[in-house]
Amino acid sequence: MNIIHAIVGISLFLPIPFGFYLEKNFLGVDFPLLFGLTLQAFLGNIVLFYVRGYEHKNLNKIFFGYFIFFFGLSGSYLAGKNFLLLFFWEISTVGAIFIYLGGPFTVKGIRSIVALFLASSISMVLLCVWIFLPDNDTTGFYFLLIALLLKSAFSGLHLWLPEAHSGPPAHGSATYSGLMINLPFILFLRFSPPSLATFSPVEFLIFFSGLGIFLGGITSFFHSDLKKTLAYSTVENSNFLWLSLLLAKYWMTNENPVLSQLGFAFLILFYITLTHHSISKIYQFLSFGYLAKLGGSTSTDECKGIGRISGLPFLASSMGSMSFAMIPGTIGFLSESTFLYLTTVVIDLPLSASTLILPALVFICTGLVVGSAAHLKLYLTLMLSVPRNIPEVQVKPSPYLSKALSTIGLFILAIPILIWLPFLLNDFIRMNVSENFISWIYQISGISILVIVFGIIVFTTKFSHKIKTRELWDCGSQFRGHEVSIPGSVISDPMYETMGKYLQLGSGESRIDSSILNFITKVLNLGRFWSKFFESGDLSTYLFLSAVGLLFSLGILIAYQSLIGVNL
Amino acid sequence: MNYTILTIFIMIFTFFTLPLFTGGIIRKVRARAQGRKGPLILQNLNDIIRLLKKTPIDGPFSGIFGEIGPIFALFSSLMIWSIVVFEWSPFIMIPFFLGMQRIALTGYAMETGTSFGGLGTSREILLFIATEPIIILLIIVAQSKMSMVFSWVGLVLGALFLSVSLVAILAELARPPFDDPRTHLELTMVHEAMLLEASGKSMALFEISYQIKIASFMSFITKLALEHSHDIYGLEIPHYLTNLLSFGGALLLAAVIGYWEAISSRRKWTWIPETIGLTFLFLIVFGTLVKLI
Repeated sequence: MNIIHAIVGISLFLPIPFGFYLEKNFLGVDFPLLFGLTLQAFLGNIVLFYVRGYEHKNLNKIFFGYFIFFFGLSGSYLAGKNFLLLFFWEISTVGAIFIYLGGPFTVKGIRSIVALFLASSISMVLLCVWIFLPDNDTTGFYFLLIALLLKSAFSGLHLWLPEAHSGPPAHGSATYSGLMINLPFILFLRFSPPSLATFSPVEFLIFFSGLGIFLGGITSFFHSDLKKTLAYSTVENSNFLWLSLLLAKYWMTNENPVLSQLGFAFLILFYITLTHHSISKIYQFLSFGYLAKLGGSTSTDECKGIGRISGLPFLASSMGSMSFAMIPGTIGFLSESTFLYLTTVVIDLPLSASTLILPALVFICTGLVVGSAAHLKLYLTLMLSVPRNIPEVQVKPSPYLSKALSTIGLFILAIPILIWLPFLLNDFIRMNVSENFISWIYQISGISILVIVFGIIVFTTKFSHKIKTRELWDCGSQFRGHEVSIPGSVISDPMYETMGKYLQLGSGESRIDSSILNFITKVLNLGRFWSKFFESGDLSTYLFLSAVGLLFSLGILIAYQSLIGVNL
Repeated sequence: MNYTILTIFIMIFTFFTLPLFTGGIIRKVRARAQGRKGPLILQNLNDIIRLLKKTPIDGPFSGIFGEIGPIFALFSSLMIWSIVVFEWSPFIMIPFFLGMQRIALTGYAMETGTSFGGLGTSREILLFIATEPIIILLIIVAQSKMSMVFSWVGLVLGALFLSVSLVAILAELARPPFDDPRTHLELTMVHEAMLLEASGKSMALFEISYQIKIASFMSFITKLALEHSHDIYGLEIPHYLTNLLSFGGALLLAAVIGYWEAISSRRKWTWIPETIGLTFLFLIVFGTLVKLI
């Protein structure tokens, strides 16, 4: 029994009663906060159990890091619009440093900490402006929006995320991707105005979220690094979450009851997708991260077939991929099928309403399919392909690790089975959605139950076939398979010439992201030009630089005022 | 939806009989069009019965997918087929069960550890990425109440939409010009390459699921045409007649595909993503036009 583990684990549940103590209206306007804290409490505890099996050095320091990290996140949920939010926001990032203490600080690790700090600090500065502006100030809302878009890796503002999420140990990546990313969405839902119908950039944001789904999915599919594959998948999911959230906020308060019901249906889709993303992404990072550790590399091709010798049971190795492949019976299926259902409703709306989503539909459909193929590619390569070197003895994973993964696997299956229950019992959960939508929820839950029951029967009885005899088929010169087994690149390479080469570099990095980063690097390198003036120590030079700086700031303010039309 | 006893009878009849014929008709018509006698229409059934009696042989690397893959492929096919015939759930469910079938198939192929399995899997995923967005769009259209005014333009556009849909379905079913099941050249095929290691009962289950999948898509396309004709042209077709026409239409479509296969050949891989990509763009432009009209 590890006392620090127990304390950190219990502390994850404390923000919920503390929220009641603070008189948060958890069953009203503050419901998003309750939702985020509950996800964090359950999934955070599973991650802590995984840490026990994964790390062998500095375990207590890592738990302490998680304590600070979750303390920061919980505080950010509960702080509200005041300066405490800034404190908690930053403290969660500081806690993240301790998470790396299980091993040496590698270049990738340091890059990820820098990326995390950069995104966190910039968004904190923007949040600071929002906090100190009055409640109904439009300018303040713009600052809040940009801060949260940045922190949640919205399309175009996502450049930091692949670095930040691929450097930490498996449990760190899982926590960042599955739990930390929830915070900006929850804060947006809680603190944005009730309606965004009159907010003109919303249509632009919806289109860009569609584009983000597409680019995230494509980059994820072609990337050769398994952790970056998952990180780009987070970019895709994050944009999908923004899409649902923006559509919900656009229609929820509409006077037309059909549109209002549709808005609430998109809000429910948002909650389902957030749960799917949190659970399935944590599973993927934990499961594939463990395999990367076993394989000693994060290259998908080099880790070929590691899953076969990992000793992980099916429930602990496959459920995340099944969920992202949208297989009926998993939580991923709930999310994607509900989106398709709602799309059919949107398409039948009058043109003025349906144009909100139609232009982005081509990107969304392709992005979702390619994103799903990315997880399939990882799964087939890591879990089912045959490894190059087959060891004599199979690895036996720690029971903590195996049980943590199996528990998340059970979550992936249990939620589709139980999702109908809150809709049946609670009027608040039903919100204002149509009866058709409620029937839809019952239906997808019913189908999930059918598939899971069938699956359990097949798995336990193996009535259709049970392997008894094995024979080597003649595939030439008595090759046994591992000499000719398939790496991940074989799955994605055929599409490279047609689709990949326009968006990816040969190394697997995103062409667009690399171009933007190169541009930023060039801009930052301008500092070298100025540094020679600083080195001169001449007072007139300092005065000149200060004057240029002031003029530049004034220019920005005037441009902002004339563009947005806000009196500063 | 209220069904009469006659409608239910036709649905049950369709459910049990159509998969027996569609695959056989394709082979028969193809053979006849090439001047050959060809196999019996029910030859697939004979093959399946023969295979079902044999115990599968598993490779040294076969595992859980070797045991459950074939039955899950069959289960997902049956789910799709029952949705198409009985419409007990929206068509939106079809892509998800197709995904399940794909995992069962590719998982089986990769697990055997042969290079052919991997090669087939790689191509299957290419086809999946290329065709799935089109199938999703098709199904969204099928589920929606999109309609056009009755005119010659509407008729031409409708026919164009169906022919484009057929392109996606040929790719999904791995038929020429995307794949050619008759070649049996390991280096060129997709579906058959993944099943090279399958034998006996496992092979039979995969084969049944494939035959059901063919029937599902043939029937889906005809239903799509009939139901949207109903919406667009205001034709009051009773349910039993819709189902009967769908049965006949599926058989006719199978014959058309058989003839198409006789005169077409498999194209090289670089051609496939471009063609399907263009098809996808066409559907988007077309859909937007219909919405605007």
